[in-house]
Amino acid sequence: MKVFTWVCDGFNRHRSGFRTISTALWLTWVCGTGLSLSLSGCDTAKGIDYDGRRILVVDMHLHPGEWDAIPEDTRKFIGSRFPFPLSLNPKTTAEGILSAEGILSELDKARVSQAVLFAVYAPRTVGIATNERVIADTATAPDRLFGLASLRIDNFRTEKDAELQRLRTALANPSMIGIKLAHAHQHFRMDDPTYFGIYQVSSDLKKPVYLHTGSSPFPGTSSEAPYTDPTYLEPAVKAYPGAIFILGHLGYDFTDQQSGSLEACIRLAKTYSNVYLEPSALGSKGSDPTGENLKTAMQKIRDAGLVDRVIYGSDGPQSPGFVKDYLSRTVTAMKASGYTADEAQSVFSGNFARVFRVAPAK
Amino acid sequence: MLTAAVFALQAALEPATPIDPPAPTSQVEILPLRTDPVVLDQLAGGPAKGAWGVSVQAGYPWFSLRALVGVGHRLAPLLEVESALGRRFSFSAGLSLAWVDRPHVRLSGEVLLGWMLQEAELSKRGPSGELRLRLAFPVRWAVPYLVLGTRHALLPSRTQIIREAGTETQWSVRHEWTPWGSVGLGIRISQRIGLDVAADYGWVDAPASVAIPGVHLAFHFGGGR
Ligand SMILES: [Zn+2]
Repeated sequence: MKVFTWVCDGFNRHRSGFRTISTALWLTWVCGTGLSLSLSGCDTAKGIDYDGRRILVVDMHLHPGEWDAIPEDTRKFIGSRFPFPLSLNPKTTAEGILSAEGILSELDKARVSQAVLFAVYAPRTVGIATNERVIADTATAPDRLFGLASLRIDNFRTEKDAELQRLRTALANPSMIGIKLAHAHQHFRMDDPTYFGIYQVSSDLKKPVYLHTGSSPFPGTSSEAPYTDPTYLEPAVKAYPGAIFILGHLGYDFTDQQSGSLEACIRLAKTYSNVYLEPSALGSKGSDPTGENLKTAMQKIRDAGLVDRVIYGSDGPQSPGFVKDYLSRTVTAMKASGYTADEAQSVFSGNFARVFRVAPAK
Repeated sequence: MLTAAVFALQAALEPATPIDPPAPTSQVEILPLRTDPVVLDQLAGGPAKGAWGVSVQAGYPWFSLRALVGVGHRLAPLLEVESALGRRFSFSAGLSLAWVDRPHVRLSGEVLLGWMLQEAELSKRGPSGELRLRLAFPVRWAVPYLVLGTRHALLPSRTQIIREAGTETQWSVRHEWTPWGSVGLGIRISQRIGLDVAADYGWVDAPASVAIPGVHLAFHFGGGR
């Protein structure tokens, strides 16, 4: 069965085509929205003030992209999430924030000192941001921008070795500090051993793997538990103790705006020392309007004694000001759940530096 | 530049001064009734019978053209064309009625019906309607004013599902709500010419969306007063 949508809203003639959403931006636009316009940015001092202490911030989850490389459905999705009237000229707005310069400008507005850009290979759902593009972007600010490499898995049955080799080649670039995977968008089960070679690469090269966990509202994504619930990742976590697994979005259920697989994420992190947690996107204005879900999640993580396993990320840039806004929402959630300045320092930069072995920006 | 245009238009609109004073007559002079400046009628609605006005507004992101003509009892049909950055348009016709018309307060209501279309990445088209309240406090040359509105558009969409057994078309309609508020200051240059500057907040597709406030400058002219 094929579903064609003639644009949401209106008698228009565009055929959105197969339900393929795409690009590097994807996930997040998925992951809801948090839209605010930032007018600051003149003060270049990096870091946030947390209970009177200045803490450096690393945002480990950003998506570079090119507007024209984004499939139509995703462009609509993205455009609809920009603040009005920026939504009327989404290309101009997007190009202003998706380039390396745009991302750096968003980081400066948020006073974030370092960030990680994701490569994405999900041609059937959210599209492609190549390793080469990410490497080129990181080269514009080598002490501030780093990258996670990815690989195609849709051709794994025949091209597995070649794809793994391509991944190793990308990771040989010093700016590429880890691997990015999204089972729900790339359509492979978390417990399918066909793909465990990826974790071997992670273990061999000591470069952590970041995985999208939880549901995604994007059309065409796999929403069943083996693709979204990190419980299914447990065999891999057990089999590759030398690989670090970072569970993105804390298993959040973006469709129903509920905690989703949070408990499974916490259990895995408590059980295995190679499991880390990343709280991006779930606390955005669009996905958690009151901020209560992010606060509850951060509280549960702290109560479970897992503060040293949390690595901050936003899932930006999404829209102008989002990187800053998400940071502020996360700080609010952490203060409300009792994180001390030392703990905040671990979440915002300390754990990242330790896990990825990256020196803080000067 | 604008000032020059204003005065040029003013010269065109004001009745020409007679070269020779009229000869004195024994007829009783008829004093004109009080008329309102165009800027007040355009901003506060409900002009007197025969008074007409046109407003041309430019700003970010809203541009508009608005015309009113009083037909009596402070009732006035009105036409409006509006655009946001040349990508979103609405064409509306409606009625304006002033309920309160005192020397220093005017309150009116407006109802508009029309068509909205947006040509952007996410295009939108459909019938639209709006209810508005206008409140102004004219004092000498100044007309501070407030506009509150609730705009609604119905946006139909069509989804076609192609199965082996055949094609199925599904229609659905979405409601787009835009609460609106403007606060501004009108300036009477003459009875027939005025300006205003205001801050606008049109929260398009509320409450799920976010909107950035706007500002505008408008030029008002008219006659029949
Ligand atoms: Zn993401």
